[in-house]
Amino acid sequence: MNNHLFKSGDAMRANEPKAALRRHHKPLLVWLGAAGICATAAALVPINSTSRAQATAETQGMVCTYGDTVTTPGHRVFNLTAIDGYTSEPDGNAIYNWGYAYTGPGATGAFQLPGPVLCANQGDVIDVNLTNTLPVATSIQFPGQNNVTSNGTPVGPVPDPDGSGNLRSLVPEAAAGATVSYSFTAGQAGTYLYESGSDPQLQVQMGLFGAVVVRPVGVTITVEDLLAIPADGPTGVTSNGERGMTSADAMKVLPHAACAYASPTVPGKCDPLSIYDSGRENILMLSEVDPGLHNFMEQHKGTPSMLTWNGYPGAYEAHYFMINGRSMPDTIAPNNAPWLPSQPYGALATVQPWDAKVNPLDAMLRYVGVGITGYDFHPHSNHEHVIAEDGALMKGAVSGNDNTEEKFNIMVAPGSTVDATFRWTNEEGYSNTDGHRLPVTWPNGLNLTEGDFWSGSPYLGESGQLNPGILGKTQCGEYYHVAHSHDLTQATNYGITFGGMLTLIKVEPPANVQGTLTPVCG
Amino acid sequence: MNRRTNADGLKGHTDVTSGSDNDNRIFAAPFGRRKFLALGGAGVAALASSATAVALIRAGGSNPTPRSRPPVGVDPATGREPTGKSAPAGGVRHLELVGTDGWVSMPSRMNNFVGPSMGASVIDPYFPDPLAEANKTTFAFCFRNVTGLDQAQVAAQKGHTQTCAPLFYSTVGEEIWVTLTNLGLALRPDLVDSHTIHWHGFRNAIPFYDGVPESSIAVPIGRDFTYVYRPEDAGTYMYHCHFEDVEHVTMGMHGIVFVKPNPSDRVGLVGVQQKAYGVTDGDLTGETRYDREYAIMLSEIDTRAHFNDAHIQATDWTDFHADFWTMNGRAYPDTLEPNGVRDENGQLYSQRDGGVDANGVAKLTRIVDFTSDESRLYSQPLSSLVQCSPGERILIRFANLGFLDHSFSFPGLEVDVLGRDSRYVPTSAQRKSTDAIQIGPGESRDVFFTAPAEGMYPFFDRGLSHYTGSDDGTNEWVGGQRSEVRVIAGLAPQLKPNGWAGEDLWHGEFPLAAAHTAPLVTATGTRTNIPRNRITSITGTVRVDANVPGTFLSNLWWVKAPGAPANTDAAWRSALFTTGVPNTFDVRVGNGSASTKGTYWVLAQDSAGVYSAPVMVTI
Repeated sequence: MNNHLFKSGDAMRANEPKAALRRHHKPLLVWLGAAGICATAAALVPINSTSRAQATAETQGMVCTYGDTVTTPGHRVFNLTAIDGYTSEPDGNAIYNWGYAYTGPGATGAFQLPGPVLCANQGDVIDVNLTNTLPVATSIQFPGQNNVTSNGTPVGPVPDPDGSGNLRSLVPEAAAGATVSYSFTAGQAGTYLYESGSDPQLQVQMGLFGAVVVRPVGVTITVEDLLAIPADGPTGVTSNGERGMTSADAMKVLPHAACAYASPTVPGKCDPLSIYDSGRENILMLSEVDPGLHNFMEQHKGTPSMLTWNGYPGAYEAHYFMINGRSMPDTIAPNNAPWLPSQPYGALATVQPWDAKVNPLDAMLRYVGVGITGYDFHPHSNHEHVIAEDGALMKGAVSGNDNTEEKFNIMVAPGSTVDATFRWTNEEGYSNTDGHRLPVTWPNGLNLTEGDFWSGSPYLGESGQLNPGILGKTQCGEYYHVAHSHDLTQATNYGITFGGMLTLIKVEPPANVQGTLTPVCG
Repeated sequence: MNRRTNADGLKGHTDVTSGSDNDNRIFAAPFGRRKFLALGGAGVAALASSATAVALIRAGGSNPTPRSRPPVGVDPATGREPTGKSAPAGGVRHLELVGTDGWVSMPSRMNNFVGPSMGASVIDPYFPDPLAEANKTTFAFCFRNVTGLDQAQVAAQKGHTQTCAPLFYSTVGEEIWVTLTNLGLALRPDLVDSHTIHWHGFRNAIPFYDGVPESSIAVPIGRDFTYVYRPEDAGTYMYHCHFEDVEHVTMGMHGIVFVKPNPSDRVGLVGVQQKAYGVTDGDLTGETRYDREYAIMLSEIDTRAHFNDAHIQATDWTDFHADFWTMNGRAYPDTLEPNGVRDENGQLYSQRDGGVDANGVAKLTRIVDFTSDESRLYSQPLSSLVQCSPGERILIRFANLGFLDHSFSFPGLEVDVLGRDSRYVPTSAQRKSTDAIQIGPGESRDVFFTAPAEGMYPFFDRGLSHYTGSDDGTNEWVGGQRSEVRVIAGLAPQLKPNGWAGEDLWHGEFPLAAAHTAPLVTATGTRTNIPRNRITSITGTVRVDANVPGTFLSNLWWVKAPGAPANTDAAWRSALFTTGVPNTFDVRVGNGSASTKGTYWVLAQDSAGVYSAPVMVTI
């Protein structure tokens, strides 16, 4: 379920795809890589997810915060607090941050990075109340949302009260200790950023950011729609219908189908490329940290104005790179991992091999570019299909021209968002049976260097003997692929590889591949 | 021996497995005639047609066992794992790479070659690296193509780098085997890094063949591993080592691999034209057709990081600052230098000042002086110079494995991006005739233009700060990503990417093993030497595959004596096959000089004129 609150009878439920019925995954009990120093002890403690409160359940995938639903349906209130706190890096460093905490019912209001993912339905009225406990004035801007008001008046740039004409903030702000309210109607479906509008080059870097996800309303997905999802590549070919899916198959998976964007040309229908598996929805907020800057702010909590921007930009150099506020290997820990108390969101993406009959729906990945540079994010093992940028489906509104594209590298520009779907197909069907084995056998494992996320067998669903010293973090012969920034300096923790802006794609064996292996993976 | 200098012979019988030369490919394992000639030498002319990008073999033959062989566990009859998947219709190619280290040369004022004002400034103490070989400046890791070399030859590649990595390509419907051997690092024996090959962008890869060491396996020093790919989607991809990726990639272990559509798809093509994407990729009309293609790998060099690796210092990779911006491992003005290559004998060849052959194709000429300025770029063999004729359709395949964005500008040319990240850009989505192409780290672009009137058209990274500059400030266009399109009327058709001289064997063209039959002939062992009465007797065995159509003739054994000039006919003498025992030889060389101690090469020739793999014998 979600991180914070999911009220019975919530108006959200009707439209919320079974997204909310997120599968509970067993955490990787021993998931830390060699770089994970500080949290190793905690990580070794098995977590029984069923014994924990729902609000902190360890899950995978995007964690929605739905806000408090007031008596009027479609009216959501999010109470956020700007607050400072610490995050931990895999190399043991503790970083001082500012962040948006959620203070609604069921939430502790404690510091977290990043801020909560505010989920709403298209047309919902969103109220955000910000309480500022920071020593400086702060605010929230909502790029991509129109007609945002604050205390009843349209938001706009705030000039410096000293009369100099300098810009003080992009939106009305709350002074230290004060509050400010914003309100808008979630007009368009899509993925959006929210971030501080006050001194943003400092405050966003310090952690004042989060995401807004708006889901379309009034769209339906039918069996026929699933059969007609187009295949990648040449036009006119369907992904599922021509590869064995029957109406009965489609009926079975229909409850899992979610919609990211309405069709631009057919009223009331979901755009076929934006149909995805509601149980496989992920968000990746990409950011970076210069620990020197954060250290300065920690030491000058009371006098943040001592930071001199006329000198600082030249000295800026990021050394930590994050997905959802975490660096690898923390990125693959489950949501709400107790050893990462202020970094509640993981980034492990789990899929199973695409199958037209039983697993035809793609995973959804929502990228948010938070940092001061663009990030080139490279998913291994298959292209992702980029369907939207900045909350806009990449299709002509009138012509329906398809400008979506498959990319093996997702360019996420600063301040922008990208929505992409992903599938992995067991294209070669390699398995440990005659006629399906690899074309060549391979050297004994002792003649190879083995990795900790290697099962010991090249075949999905099968495990093999591992060399001494290899931790063997796989559970049932699942595959792991990496996905990471291809500015490889960013896929490090302060220069140490296999860290930073890197996460894993977990390809679970489907039951019929697992054969005699039990139990079910994860 | 003169027949080996026969140019007709060189252009014939290249495919010893099928007896056909229609695809101009040679199976990896046996030394075909062409390889034999490259090895034995028959004068410059012959070598010009036979040189390959494989290199030095001068190291001694302490272990003469041939390396060229199928990977572990294949059935000799089929070339495949007995219960494995069957080969695709397009056949199997087998490329053999090694991972090692060495020195490359960036344009420095220290090198006369680039001219006094064209070299980059000294970056003390990092550049030029004081440890570097003559005419080199910078430490690097690399992949090298060793396809067809034997074990001793392969071992001798340690310490001889190549940047960027060998360009190779395939077509849809083929299966590719890439055997990676980790030779270790000559300069850093303390660094026991494994290597891997990650084919960046390969769709639906299984982790075993994806090359990420943490999620599968890597190849330790002294070991090898064979990756198998069955590409189904045309396009421009790239490959790199993923072991400690940030270091190994920027140190030079990155290259371009591209996939052409199935050759049977000729929709929209005329004559010898090819196309980047086929009907199954969505190009229904042949819009991505081209007359010439060039592949350009983009990266950067932080001289401090390279220096640190050479001097056993650690690098904070998040403190990366590029000093050189490279195209195919070279920085301007070296980008304009012609292609170069080393053959198995360590001889260097270049298209520089080589003139053109009867077809108007630039010829290779041998560089005599190993330490000359002309040899400065032998570790960076691939040119980025684009040459074409007016009206031709040109494809430049860009791939970026650096850490920075690059933005290419083409003043005077109208360029179309018809491919991004190995996907055809549908007509409805194309942004035509742009002036700047942005390419982020890990991305690829297929850039097309129609060659305009004769003239020179520079193209360069519009990030103009990407030039190192020189001390005197007279030329700020040094050390960066800059090259030229030279439009020249009447050029002969391009035979190989990047204007390579039309050689059948080069660093990008690796052999096709039709249906992957077993090697025809491999020497599996040798021994010794009985110098007696000025007669040298050399004995050993040669394994002849049962499928070999020809038989070895008793009077066609050839021996090359130590110390003989490498590339002359005189180096090779016929020898007698004396034992009469099949598959075994006892070669006696009857004149005085043959009793000289040293390393001999022995090989056999069958009735079809095909040579066996050479057997190295140290006396």
